[in-house]
Amino acid sequence: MKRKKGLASFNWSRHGTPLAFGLMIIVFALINPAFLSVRNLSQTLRQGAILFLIVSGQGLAILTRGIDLSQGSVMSLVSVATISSIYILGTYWGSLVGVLFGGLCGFINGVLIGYLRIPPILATLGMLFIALGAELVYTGGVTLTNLTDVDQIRLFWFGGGMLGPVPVPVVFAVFTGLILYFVLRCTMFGRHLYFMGANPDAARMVGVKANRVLVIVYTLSGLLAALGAFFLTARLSMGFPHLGEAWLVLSIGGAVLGGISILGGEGGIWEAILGTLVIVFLDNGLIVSGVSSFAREAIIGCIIILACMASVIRRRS
Amino acid sequence: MERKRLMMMFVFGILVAGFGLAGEGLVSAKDLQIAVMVPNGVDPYFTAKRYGYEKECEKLGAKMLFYDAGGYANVNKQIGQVEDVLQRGIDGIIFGATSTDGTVPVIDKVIDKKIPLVIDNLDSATKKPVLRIMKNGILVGQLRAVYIVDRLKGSGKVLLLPGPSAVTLCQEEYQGFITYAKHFPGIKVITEWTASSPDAGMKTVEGILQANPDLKAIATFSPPLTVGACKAVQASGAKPGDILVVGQMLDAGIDDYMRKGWVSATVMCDHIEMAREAVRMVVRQIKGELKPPQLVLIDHYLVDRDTLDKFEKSGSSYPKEWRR
Repeated sequence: MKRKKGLASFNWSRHGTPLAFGLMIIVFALINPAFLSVRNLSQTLRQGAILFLIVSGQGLAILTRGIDLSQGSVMSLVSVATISSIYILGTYWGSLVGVLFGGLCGFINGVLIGYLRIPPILATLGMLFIALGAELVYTGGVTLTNLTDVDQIRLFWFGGGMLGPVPVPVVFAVFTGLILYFVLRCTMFGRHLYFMGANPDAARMVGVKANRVLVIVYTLSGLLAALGAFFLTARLSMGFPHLGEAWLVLSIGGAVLGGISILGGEGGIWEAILGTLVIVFLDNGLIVSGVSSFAREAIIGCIIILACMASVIRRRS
Repeated sequence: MERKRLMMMFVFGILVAGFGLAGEGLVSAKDLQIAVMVPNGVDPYFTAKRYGYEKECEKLGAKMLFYDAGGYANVNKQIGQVEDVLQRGIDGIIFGATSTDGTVPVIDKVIDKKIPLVIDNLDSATKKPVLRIMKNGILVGQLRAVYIVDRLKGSGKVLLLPGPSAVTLCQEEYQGFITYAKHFPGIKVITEWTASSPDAGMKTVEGILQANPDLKAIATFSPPLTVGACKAVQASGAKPGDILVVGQMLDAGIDDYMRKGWVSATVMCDHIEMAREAVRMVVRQIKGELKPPQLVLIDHYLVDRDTLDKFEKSGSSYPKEWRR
């Protein structure tokens, strides 16, 4: 077989996205050096930490050939549930209860998909509306504010505080990423998850407990979306009923952009990190460079589509 | 005998006509069903207006049916809601559009069916005669611009967050701001159209502040954007008042931000009273007392930290214990 030379030998499918990310950083830094300022990087990584949590949850679902369409609504539900719970239970217990709401939604998704065999797109679509309806009925659409000063300060630390030089959400995101990496790469559960994504029928035939795997995957997806919502809610110090509206598209886009195959069974935490970084730095870079808001939306949309195409082509080849 | 019969018929005719006319005036709003259709019910502005719609309907004995499109992007959903309401039958509609142009066909349908209709604040570009009660978007934009230009003494960089670009009111407020500010060459305006959500506002302002560390003021369309802007300004390390933030309304805790100095001023209108007036207008139209076209423009005024506790709040705030 003839060996490829030069650019043809470059593994574009594997290294294309990291290369594009690096080039993007260089271009934005040249346009406006403020892009690489410590404050800008810190703020962008803070936003990225929130997105990473949501993307990694979505990524787990996509790895099993599924999808979680309920993440945006779950985020909104968790936002109002957190603030409401803080009114009653105080900052820490209230925050925990709020996050657990997200886990509960994910668990329900998992049971519907794993045990009742409802297709993921339908089950999570149903949960999208259930979560949205529940939080709107509860709040009546009212934004929840009026935290006490003490609760506000404590809560804000999670979303806007620093641990040394590092934003708090980034610390949590790194910690979460390490755990997920270990689970996916070093545990039987992780192997079963990939097996199910690669060939779900074969996985079931060799005894993989697919039901259980799916319940865990979707519970994790809900919990991770809830964590993302928690940090965002903490940063804003308010329960906003439509908080998660724009995040579902970003979570799917981030997962696919980074290299998690939309067809399942391929990708992992590094891909989730890469996809997250591309989206947040692309968006930030376009703002700092002065690109209009209209053009930004179109550019980000085009890049997500290109990434999906690359994912499909890579899979076929 | 003949004359007596004629007299009795005449008196009877007078009585029937009299009761008929009196009956018209005696028609009350009881048992009337009024559909209130808003584009984004979770926006604190519409949450407050819901209080106004509800209380006025209660006062008039009408039943309010509330429909929320769930966001300015949900044009199709709102069109579907109007179609549903027409299908089920309704006495009157109060309508705030998700999209000025996208809702024209369905609004024309409502008007053609002679359903009493009041367009409240967010306009639909129908050419047919209709009742409207509107904020004066141009004035709102100009009030913000006047305050900022005055405080900056005619020179400085300003970020304008007008909200969603598809909404006519946002376009009007943008025009109002720009047409005033352009008279001061020292005022440089950066415009960013965003969704009306706090995270969109925060992310945008953070990025703009990085590229423009000399930014002096931010003008925002809605309370959620104001909150997002304040959070971004706080995160930049600025002190209260270093960067003027001028918003709209005091919902979503904006009054608290103002007391702490993060929000410098806000453009107000009596939006709850506006909602009440919309209900009164549609009921009068149902009764035949008001005929389109009519345009009612409401007043606007600027509130800052010094006047925060000195203005009449009954038209713009609802009791804390009310929560829907």
